[in-house]
Amino acid sequence: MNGSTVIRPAGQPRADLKSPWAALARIIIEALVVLGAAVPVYLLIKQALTPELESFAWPPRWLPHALTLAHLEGVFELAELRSALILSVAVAAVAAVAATALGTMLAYAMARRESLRQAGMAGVTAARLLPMIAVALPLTIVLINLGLYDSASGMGLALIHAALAIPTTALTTYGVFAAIPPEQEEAAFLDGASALRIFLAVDVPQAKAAIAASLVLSFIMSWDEFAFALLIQVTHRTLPPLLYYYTVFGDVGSASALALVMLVPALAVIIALRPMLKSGLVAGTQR
Amino acid sequence: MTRRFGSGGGISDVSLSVESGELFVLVGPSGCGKSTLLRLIAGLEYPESGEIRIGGQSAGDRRDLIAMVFQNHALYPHMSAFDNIAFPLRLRHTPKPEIERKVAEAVGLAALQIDLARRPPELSGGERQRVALARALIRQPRVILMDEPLSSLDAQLRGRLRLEVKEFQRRTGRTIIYVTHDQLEALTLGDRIAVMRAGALEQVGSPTDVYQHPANLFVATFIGQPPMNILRCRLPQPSGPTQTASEHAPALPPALEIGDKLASAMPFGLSGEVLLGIRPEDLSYNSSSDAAAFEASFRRVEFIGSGFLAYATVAGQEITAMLDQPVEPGRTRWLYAPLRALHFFDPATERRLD
Repeated sequence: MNGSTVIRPAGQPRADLKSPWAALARIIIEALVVLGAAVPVYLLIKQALTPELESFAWPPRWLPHALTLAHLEGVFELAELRSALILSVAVAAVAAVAATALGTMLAYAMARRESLRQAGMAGVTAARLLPMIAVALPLTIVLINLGLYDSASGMGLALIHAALAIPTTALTTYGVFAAIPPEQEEAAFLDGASALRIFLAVDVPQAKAAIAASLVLSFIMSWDEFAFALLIQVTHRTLPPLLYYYTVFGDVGSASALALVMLVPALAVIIALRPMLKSGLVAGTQR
Repeated sequence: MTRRFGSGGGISDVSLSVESGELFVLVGPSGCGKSTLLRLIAGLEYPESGEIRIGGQSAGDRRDLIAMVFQNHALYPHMSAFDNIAFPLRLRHTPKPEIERKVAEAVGLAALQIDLARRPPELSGGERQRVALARALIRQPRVILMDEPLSSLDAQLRGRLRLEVKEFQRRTGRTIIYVTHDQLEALTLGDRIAVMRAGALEQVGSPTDVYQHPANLFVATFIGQPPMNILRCRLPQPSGPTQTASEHAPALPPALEIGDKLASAMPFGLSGEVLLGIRPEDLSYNSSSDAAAFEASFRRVEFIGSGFLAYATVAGQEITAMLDQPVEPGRTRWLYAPLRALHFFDPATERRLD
């Protein structure tokens, strides 16, 4: 900290950000960020709900002129939608829970054991650096041997998705565990708690927000994952490969309608975990 | 209770025993091993050799016998004050009515007056330390260990809570082992105190004993604020001229020549050099028949409210004195100290000479 550090109540803008120009600049930047996020979603919704011709109209039209539910109806009439939706939810849920559980424990071990920190960080980074599709074939053989290749349960794919997400969940939770003073654990140890109990009763509740964020991130990673899904779930398909076939056929309206359907569960997960994200942030404050 | 240690981390060959129901203070500069010693007693670290005995029996897993209060209170920030205090009981599957009764009792003993539904981040520093006290007490431990529990609080609160710790100990009758780097805290709080340096015990005794009869030069200068003055002195030769302490011109600085009268007050036969210790508060302008006299050249005087803290030189050596009257810097005046208030130390071993 140097002399220019200004201490102010949380959430209050600094005095120099209160000038009208700064306020205007902030509004513009915020508007651009919101637009950047909202425009693609708007176009997706528009394409899903308007006739095909309108999507290719030139000059492009921002506002829909004719509405149609044909694309959505077509998607819902698709026999495979139900099974693909269920499979995607199952794969993403299992992958998210497994990646978060294992990644959290890895992060905890890294935060508490000096000897594991270097090795853990190196492993996590290496796993992220390696283009996973390079080992797709060996992984496929492993899954065939395990009897999990193209399984109806999708658990082979869930396994791979969990492995893909562990570096993310570990890095998301590591900082929180590292910030919990070891004395809290020593106090719990002297109070009579076992190592597992200390982890579950003292550390996990304080890492709630990071754990919720890990769940969201790993769920969405799995939900959107395409390459392994295409390779492994050949007959029992998840949603992204299904979407791929529409794009290949060039049916923009139906592809958009399916993409819209895919947005809903992902949003539901984020909304469901929101209270946890918030409460965890408050509980994390120490002193 | 007897506790023995071999060399465990920062501790070497420490052996000491704490009486039941005693408030025992471990004091020393940072890095002296006092916290290591406490953690060894707690069982958070293991001695490389030696053992710890509580109540006559060798203590293996002694978590049921001891509780600890940490410097940063180590409360669980995500739990309410009530849940923090009740945590040890919940681990033991204590029935709910009993938990409520015991928490109420511990809260009373810790003089805690807050809404127990609040969580530690919403409490003040003093309230958090009281919650930590209540949590330590709830298990009815035989020994409560306190690792600098007050050092993160501001000075005023520290003084008040110091009194409370003392009263807390009287109310509960528990054995408390208290670690601090603050010598004043040690003197005011301890039934007995142990002064540590570099992983070894320097002296164990009552606060008055340690203050009035420091066992060596380190204890003499560590306990007491401002620290004790140490003057290098030359003892009179048997055939030499007889002079009082400072009548002799400081021709041979920086050592102070000691007169026969003072030499006769020393109950030991020595020749050559000796280190003379005088506490700043034992020096005054008041002459008396059994006082040693020092000719002091004053350099600087500070008003400290209760009196004046004077910086001076005696025979070329710097001293401080707590005086009731101011003196002009640059002046030379005689200062007196009662013979019984003088401490002597061997320059080679730094041990006390009696």
